[in-house]
Amino acid sequence: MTDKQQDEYDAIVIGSGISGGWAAKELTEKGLRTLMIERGREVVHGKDYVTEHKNTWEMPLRNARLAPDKQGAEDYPVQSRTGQFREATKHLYLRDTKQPYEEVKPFTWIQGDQVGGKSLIWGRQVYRWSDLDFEANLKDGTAPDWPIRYTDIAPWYSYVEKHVGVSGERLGLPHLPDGEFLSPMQMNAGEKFVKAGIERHFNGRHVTIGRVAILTANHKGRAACHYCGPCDRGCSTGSYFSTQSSTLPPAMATGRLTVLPDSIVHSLVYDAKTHRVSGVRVVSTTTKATREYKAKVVFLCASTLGSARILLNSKSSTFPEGIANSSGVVGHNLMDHHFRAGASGRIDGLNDHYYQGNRPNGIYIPRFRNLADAATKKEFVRGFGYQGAASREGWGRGASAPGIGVALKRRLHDAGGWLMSITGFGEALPRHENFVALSDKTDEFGIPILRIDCSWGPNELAMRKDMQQSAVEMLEAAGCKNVVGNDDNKPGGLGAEPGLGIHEMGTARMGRDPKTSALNQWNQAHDVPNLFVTDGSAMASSSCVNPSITYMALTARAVDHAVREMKARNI
Amino acid sequence: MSEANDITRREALARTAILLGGTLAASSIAGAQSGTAWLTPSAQWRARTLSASQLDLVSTLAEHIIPRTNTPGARDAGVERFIDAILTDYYAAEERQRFVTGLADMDARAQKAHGVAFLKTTKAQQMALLTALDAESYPPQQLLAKAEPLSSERQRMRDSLARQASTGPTISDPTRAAADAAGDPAARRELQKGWFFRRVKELTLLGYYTSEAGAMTELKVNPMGVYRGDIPYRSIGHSWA
Repeated sequence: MTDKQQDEYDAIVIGSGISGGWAAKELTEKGLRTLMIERGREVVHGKDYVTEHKNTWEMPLRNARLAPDKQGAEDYPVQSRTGQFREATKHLYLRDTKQPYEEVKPFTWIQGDQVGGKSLIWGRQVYRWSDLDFEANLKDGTAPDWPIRYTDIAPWYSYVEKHVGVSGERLGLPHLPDGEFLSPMQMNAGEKFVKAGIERHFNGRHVTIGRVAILTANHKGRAACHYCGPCDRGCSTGSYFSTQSSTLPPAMATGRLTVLPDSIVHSLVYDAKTHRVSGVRVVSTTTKATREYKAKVVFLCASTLGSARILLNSKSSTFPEGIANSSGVVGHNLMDHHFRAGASGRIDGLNDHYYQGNRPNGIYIPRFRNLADAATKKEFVRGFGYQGAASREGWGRGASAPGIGVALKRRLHDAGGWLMSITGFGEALPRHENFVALSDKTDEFGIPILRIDCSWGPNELAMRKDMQQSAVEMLEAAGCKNVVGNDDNKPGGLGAEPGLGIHEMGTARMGRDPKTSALNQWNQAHDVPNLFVTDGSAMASSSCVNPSITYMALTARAVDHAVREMKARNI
Repeated sequence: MSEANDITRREALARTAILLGGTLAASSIAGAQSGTAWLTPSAQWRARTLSASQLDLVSTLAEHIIPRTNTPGARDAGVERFIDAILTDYYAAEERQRFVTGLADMDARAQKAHGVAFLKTTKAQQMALLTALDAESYPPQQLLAKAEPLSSERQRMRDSLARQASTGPTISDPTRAAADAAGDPAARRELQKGWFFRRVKELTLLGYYTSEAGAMTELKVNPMGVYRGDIPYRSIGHSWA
């Protein structure tokens, strides 16, 4: 084979995370020779999960959280802001000094830097969106309408869920549609107590076990969860959905996938004669050599901010502001879920109840504000749900009160009392003034870095008050004692700043009108028919539920459309 | 609850090893079974921040906080080694210095009360000094939770469940705490008073209960295998490590 042939594929997928993995699986299964380009290093399933099942005493700092001002976090000033960044997981996060960005206002951009991307470290909560979400922009007029409705995506949710394996409880709620569920995980006694109390006192509110992309039964060659606990170190048994466990194996099995790690995309090459993307410019992160790869169709799945950066940096005389950006919306309408507002309280009694095993999941309270009926209307638009959990206090309680010696040791031998804690996840509005742009500075590969300018607006701030108040109200009504509300948001500072939710969305949104959106109803660029963007950047609004399963469904749907169009010779 | 459902850690480990195609190291299983690996001395180990006498003092303080009973104590678990590692590889320079100064203060207290350094006092005198220090080191819970949030169980829960990720031991963040409380001089004084002893106790508990001795002999690690959401406490009978 000549070099030229080696560099030509039917399809190129940029990014190997949740969306990129799905694009690669679907494209290769439909017969396309596909190249998947990944900025970060190779991570081999199983072999490279180097901290999996490690005991605490096998780690020098006993799996300490590496906070920003601690040693070990020097090269990770941003990644260390999330509590997930610990001794056992550090190697699965981007070294910030490799890919810096400019933060006009506090914005925490959490990034993976490996094959599998953030699919290895994601929260695994999966909830279908509903027409409450897809009609939201139209109904409150905040932003242009979504070009799709629930019926367009429902079969694709089923399609991806059957492959992923989602455990959850059916509720029959129109605004939180049921999916293809494996059996739900169990609640503990504290959670059952709170559930009973909340459902008794509040008509129409529900407490359910989290819906998660974690197997409660063996599924498609992957083993049921063994409840070791910390999923985010990687899972050799493939018991949660990741690129490595779920989309890469079938893609590789076709013999049509080539994975190219350690390769950062500089830009897309536009051919003005054909009005198509003709290739992808790539810089090797090890040698810094550049190379161009060609394909008939390109799927951009480099994350909401990563994809925006590539689009904005793909300038040509046709697209001086970046490819597929004749509308000027690329980079704008950046959203994230705002969270860390909620409450916690004690549960007296239940001392004869305990649990065994490490459930990597919590409870979920679906949205109950601004639904169809007038009684749920509030002074803000959109809504929020809660994630939470109950547990009995452990030995850590000994560190915050007096007591030493034999008496302390005896006391800590027993489990402590029950605590229940819930935190809201609220929908953020798409606003033009929350945006990213290219900076004048470049990274070590000669690619302009991003300047991020994003903050919460009045609607999010009003919603947070309700998120806290309602949490306190529900836990008190349920019978919790010593209930304390919290809101970690510190305007202009760190605490609950945008980005920390790690649900960035919106920077190349879908829409009906090419003047106000970058992508059509198939995640296809209005301006460039062979370019598809199927990660979080495609989202026209943010819902209040976790978005990843929607990226998966949209990606599979977009590939199906792209391949049909290719066969019809429209692409 | 059927006994057949009851899966021991050993079984869980063995089962997982099978699931993983036997990739789990045999030594992990042996270690989990024997529960004696904590006794193995490591000849190569050297303190990197603490001097020999400081290490002895830390070890003595830790042993008073978590003494050997019918199960290992802090010294058996090598807590002083863990504390030296935290001081060297984790704490910022300012915190490290503050901790070392706190050790000197222990000797000053002993000098004042008994005319000799702490380690030269009797066990009973040491326990009396520490009991007094413990009693004066904990400001009201609300103040403590606000200023040293990561040492509060609720904050710990909130941090972990907010992302549904791993729960893990958390070391509090005294540097930031000092900054947080800076606006209120009275609160700051209150918090500074017991700072050293709170750190010693926190690091002792952390070092002990995350050691093999603390997590496998005194308590048990919550085992992998199955999840049983609601079981009688008496069927376990102790806290998970």
